[in-house]
Amino acid sequence: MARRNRWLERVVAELRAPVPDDGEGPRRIMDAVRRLPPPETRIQKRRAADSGWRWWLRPRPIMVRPAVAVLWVALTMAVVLVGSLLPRGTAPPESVGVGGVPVVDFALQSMPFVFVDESATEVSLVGDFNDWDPTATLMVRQGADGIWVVVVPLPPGRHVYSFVVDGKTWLPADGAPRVPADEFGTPGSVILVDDEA
Amino acid sequence: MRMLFTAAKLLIAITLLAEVAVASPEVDARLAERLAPETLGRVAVLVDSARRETLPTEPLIQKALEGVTKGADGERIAWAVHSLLDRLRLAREILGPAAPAPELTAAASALYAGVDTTILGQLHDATLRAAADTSSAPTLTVELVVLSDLIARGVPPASASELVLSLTSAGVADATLLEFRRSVEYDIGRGRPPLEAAESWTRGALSRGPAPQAVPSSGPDRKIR
Repeated sequence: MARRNRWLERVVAELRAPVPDDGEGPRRIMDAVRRLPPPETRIQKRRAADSGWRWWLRPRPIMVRPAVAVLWVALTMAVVLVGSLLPRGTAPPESVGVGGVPVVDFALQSMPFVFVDESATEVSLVGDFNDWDPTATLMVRQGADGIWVVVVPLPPGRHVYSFVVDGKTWLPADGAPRVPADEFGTPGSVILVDDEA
Repeated sequence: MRMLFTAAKLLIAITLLAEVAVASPEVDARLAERLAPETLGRVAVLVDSARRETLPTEPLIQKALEGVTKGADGERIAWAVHSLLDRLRLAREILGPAAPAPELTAAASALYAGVDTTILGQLHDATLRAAADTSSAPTLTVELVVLSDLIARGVPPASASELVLSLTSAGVADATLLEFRRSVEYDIGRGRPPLEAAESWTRGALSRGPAPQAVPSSGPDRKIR
């Protein structure tokens, strides 16, 4: 206890000792204060917390009128709907022209088709260029020799076709490449159209 | 509060409608016009799959329309379209993503005829090699059309594949291949066995012997300008 008292007495003596006053004390204190960095305000602290990617994570209240929100979402959905109705994928652009003939963005070429059958009363040309429609491309009989002819504009590429005689008999073309009997059990022929102009 | 509930209900309804519209397959008008509703649903899904995979959709649509015109039932039509889609996928797997639609459809037809996938890959490679060597190299579409034709006329698939591959590897031009096909057809029409005719004309083309004799033709193989 005596030891602690001696330590306390030394501290008290030090505090009671006269301090030399040269008149510069206040100035030195203020200089030291000025050298200190300025304290951050609340706004500055918030800005620092919101900088960069932290801005995206900080929760914040948003006030929206319900009517405006509904209108906004309806517009977004309309954009999605319109987008979904547009053609997708990167397949070559295809559309259907007059008479069901597929129209591709290439120059069409006039291709003659000839079929010989003296006894036929009606011959039509069907293929993947007229949606296999027997009424789309009727052939025309030339003279009495049973030669049936039609000229069809075709886009470049590979086309499969057949002749339909009297609306019931399916026949391939003589002299043209054939495709093996298909899934529906009838023969077909192939025509290749160059893409040269 | 009531307005908030109404707004929430509207939002949910709009979202559901949009989801349904986006998820529904796009239906081709020609299919909608000619297919029965049940078949249409199945075929539309297949066509939509092809579209999403950037495979050509027109051959699938045409296959379905072909089936309708030929009086096939819905089950058969859906099966035929499904089968064609599988073959188009396989063809693209072998020929690569840059293969054009005519090549893919010709390859799908050849696969249906019984051509082996290995042969298809070999033909593709041989065509690329020939194209690098000569300017008048054959095109894969013509090779596959000729190959399918030989098989359709009775040449066994394995033999036909071998013969066409040998011609492709030799770099014969498209016109020569088509002339070869016409010659084989002519011989078969005169009663010669299909394989014998094909082998004979292949040897002739490979040995660069005399040009095949002119063969009458009543149908256009190809318009060459």
